Amino acid sequence: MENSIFFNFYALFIVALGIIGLGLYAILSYRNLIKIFIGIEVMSKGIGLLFIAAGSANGRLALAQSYLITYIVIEAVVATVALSLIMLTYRHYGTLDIRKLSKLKG
Amino acid sequence: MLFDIIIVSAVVLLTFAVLSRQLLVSAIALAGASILTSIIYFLFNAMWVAVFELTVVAGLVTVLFISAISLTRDLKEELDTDRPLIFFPIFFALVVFGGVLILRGISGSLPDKALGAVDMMADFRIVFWEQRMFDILAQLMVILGGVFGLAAFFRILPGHLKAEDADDGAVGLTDSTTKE
Repeated sequence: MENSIFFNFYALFIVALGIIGLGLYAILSYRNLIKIFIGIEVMSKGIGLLFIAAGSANGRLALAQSYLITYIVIEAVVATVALSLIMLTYRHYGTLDIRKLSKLKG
Repeated sequence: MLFDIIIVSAVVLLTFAVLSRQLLVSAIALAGASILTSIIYFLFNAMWVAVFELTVVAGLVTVLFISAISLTRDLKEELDTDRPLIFFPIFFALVVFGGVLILRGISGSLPDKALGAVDMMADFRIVFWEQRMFDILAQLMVILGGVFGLAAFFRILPGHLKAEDADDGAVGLTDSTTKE
């Protein structure tokens, strides 16, 4: 483990920011609602990695785990509600394209 | 070396999840990345988070994604991006460059540059159940909020049932008239 390149807070910080950038790219580039939500989930992976790396670097891994478990529970609930909203949107409008949704009235 | 391979594999799977044109492939790649992330947590001695990541994110959220994808159409034109693919590496490089700039700013305030100085004496159970008890209450409130939200989204009112019966009748009538 000590010989690993990425087992270092600064390297993990860069990797986590790269993953958050990936999610941001998906949110900004795609028009499909499910794909946008996949981007949000990708961002959450980077945030979780950042939490654990910071907790390990500070020597407070138990506290970081506690925060991250709360974050995972919130993420699961948000995923449930968001995907059900996406399904209701599809049932109502027949499309998941955000450009078309913004043009519809009512 | 194992840690490096897992990190690189997770980043490759997440990139595949973002760039793939098929939603189902994206969801499965995301689940694979979640499994690799849980292995990373385990290698950090954060086994409780690893278990949560493996069961909740790699399991439950992936099932939700696949259910939502199977209940909607996979329209290829909606999965096209407005930006050319050259935008992706530029955007990625900009974000990483911003991270390097942030690191230069906070590098003096961090206690240790290397990982591994983990205080194993701080028991997770004491921190979770005694010091962060309000977090557990907040989790319960969030779960209840999600349950009530779903109940509100998918509630069936008596008016809706009557309207659906009327629709079914109308469909049957048109079918019978077309047969005649």
